[in-house]
Amino acid sequence: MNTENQNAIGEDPYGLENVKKQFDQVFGNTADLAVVSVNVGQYKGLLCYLTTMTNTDFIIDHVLNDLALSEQKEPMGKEETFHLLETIHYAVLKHETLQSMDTVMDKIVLGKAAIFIDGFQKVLVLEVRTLNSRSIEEPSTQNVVRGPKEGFTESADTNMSLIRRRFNNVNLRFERFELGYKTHTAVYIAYLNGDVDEHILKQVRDKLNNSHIDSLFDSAKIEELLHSKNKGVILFPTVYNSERPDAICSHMINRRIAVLVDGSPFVLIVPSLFSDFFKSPEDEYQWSLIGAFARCLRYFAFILSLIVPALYIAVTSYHQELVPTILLTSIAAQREGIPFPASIEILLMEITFEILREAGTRMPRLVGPTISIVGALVLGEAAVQAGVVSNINVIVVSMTAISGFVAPIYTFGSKVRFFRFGMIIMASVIGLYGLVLGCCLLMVQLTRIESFGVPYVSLFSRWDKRRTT
Amino acid sequence: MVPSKTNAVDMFAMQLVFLLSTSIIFGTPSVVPDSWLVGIIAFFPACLFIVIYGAMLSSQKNLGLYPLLEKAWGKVVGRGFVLIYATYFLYIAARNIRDMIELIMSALLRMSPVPVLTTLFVLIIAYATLGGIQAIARFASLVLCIVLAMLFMLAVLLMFSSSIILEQMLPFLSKGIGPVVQSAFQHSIWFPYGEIIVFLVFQQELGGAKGFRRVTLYAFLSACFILSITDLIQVWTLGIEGKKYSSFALLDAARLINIANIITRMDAVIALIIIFGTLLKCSVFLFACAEGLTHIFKGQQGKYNFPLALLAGAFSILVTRNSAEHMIEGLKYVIYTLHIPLQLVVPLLTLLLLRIRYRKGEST
Repeated sequence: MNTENQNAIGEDPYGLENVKKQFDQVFGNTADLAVVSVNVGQYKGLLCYLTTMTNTDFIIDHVLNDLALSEQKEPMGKEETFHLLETIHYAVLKHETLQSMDTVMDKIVLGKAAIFIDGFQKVLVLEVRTLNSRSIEEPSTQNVVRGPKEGFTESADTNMSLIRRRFNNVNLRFERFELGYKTHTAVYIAYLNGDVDEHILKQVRDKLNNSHIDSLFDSAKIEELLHSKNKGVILFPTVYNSERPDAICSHMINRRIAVLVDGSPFVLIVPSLFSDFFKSPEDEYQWSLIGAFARCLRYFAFILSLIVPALYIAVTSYHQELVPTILLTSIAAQREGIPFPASIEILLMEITFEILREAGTRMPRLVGPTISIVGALVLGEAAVQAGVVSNINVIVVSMTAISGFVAPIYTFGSKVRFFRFGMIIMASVIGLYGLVLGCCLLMVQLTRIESFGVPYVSLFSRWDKRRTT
Repeated sequence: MVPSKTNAVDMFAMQLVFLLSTSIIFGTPSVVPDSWLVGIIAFFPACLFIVIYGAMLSSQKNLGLYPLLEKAWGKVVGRGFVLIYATYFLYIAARNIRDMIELIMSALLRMSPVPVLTTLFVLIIAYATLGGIQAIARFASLVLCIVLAMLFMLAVLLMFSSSIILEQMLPFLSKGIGPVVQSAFQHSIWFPYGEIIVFLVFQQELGGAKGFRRVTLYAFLSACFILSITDLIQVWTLGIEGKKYSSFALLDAARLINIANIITRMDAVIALIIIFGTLLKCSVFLFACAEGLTHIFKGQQGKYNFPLALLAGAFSILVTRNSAEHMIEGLKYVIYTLHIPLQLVVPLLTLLLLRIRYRKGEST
């Protein structure tokens, strides 16, 4: 690009007119490009930056004021003036010197300002990026009663500082990657050097370097990238995400790698194991027995949310002998006059619930209460009273639904639903045998998964408790 | 440091579940009154297998079964033996599937079409084998926990429903020790203990002769202990005669559970536990069989798993006409025509040949 211009104009490519032309060529007439003529020492200069990546106050305070100071100095050569700028005036700002024009445009896009001196080959690039972002707030997911209330924000800089201030440790490392060939989004990985497994680190770096995505607006896309795909379809998440710095840091202590994406408040953790998705940061902040109890409860709820509807169908339609007689008569009495078999009844209510849930999360907040009224009263009460579904059915479905939300990580709970429907179908076709086959399939899948070479489920070997020396 | 080797506990779990899975439901064949004693006596000769197989492994730097056979017998005969073993493993897998389907048909679903039940089951087996032996081992440790918890629950519940009557095991040794020892040698050492030969196939991934000897010994001990306990529970609850004429004795024992009319009919639950065990056992056999075929035909790993699984499923239906024939075949013909030659004679000869062809010091 540069050489072409040089030939076309046939003049000094670092002359200010030429620089201006080049900027016009590359950026077109974008409204937020500021190309300002300034005086640098006794020479003419040019200051270029994007107004959208910084604010005017910052430019005036930190860039233009210092430039004005340089004018009062006695005459000196371009080289000396440049040196003076670099070492005295802008020593505090993060800056770098470029020997040619090649990469200046890319730097400006990242929120830097470039200072040119007429006819001088070196370019001074200053970090002037000041962006407005959401202040640190309490996270909206993974709430805790006891524990820190800070949450990550959309700015990766803030997020990194949230991690750094928890680790006053020289071994904490951040590595920068750029992903998305259209957006050039900054992605950082954070880890504790020495603790982390070099082999896994290399895999993460390779995956990030070899990605071919065009854009990146949320860490979910990276999650997809890091999710292990080597052994068929995997319905369990192998990447943990959290909005809570304390959760991320406690995982990093356990030899994990954190992945931060600029623009996403959800920070990822790899490798993640099955048990990670049942841990809440709060477990560690209270008496250990209560934490353990809560964790067991979550596992139990997970199993309940998977099998309860299928078990209900299997038992009531195939294996009535398993139910205590009194309960059986009670169920039979309720189901008297219900037009559908148990499986259709359950499917009906499950799908209704799914629709309600989807509507509840997507609809504008103002109409929120409507949904709960319609859902609870019309679909619950009225369906039972009208004799479309039985009472026990409503109990089964609502118990399943509530258990499904116990998992601390929302994405985990949402994937369980697929299995639940599979189980329901299996149980309706071949009863308990189908249910057990479904469980077998689930267990086989769970034990087959590896997250970056670490077994996803392993009862007798704890990967994260083993330390490398 | 990626954990590539299966850890010892997972491997132990795999072998233990493997030994328990089908034998726990059929129990020791009740041809003699004191069948629980048979299991204990069979343990001692069964340890001979550990010695033979361990020696085979250590003689050739922990090569798997298939390369060992080729080394001992030469390319052509060795390959023939590999094929025979692969078929043998497939046949046992088919038999185990049949065992389980018989149980499901008699305990849970009487009307469902057998091919549907079998097909679904073998598909899951194939899926399990695709993950490799380490995934199977991790699956085994999950299954082991479930099986042990269930057995423990069964014992406690039987105790609470006061179904356990210790006097039922009398008369003790009414016909002397002779028939007991004979039964041990006729049945119990070949099944389940001798079937451990299948683990020779995966020794490269599982840690060689030393690990094999130790882990298998522990697995044998635990299996012997658990099998004897369940045999005893069956005798204590059903009585000697009752156990003799029941085809699924543990199931019949579980049927006796009744606690305040709320916890009843636990037999269905016990039947479900068997599915887990059989799944594991069949995956191990199928994986071994697929390894054999890849060894000979040099195909891509995992290419044979689904076809072989379907084949095993089809075999399981076609192999015998009815349940009685299936039992007789298992107790009589399979032992003499398959188990004894392939578990004892061929390994012994192989070991001998290996010792002769590759003397100590000049191996390979």
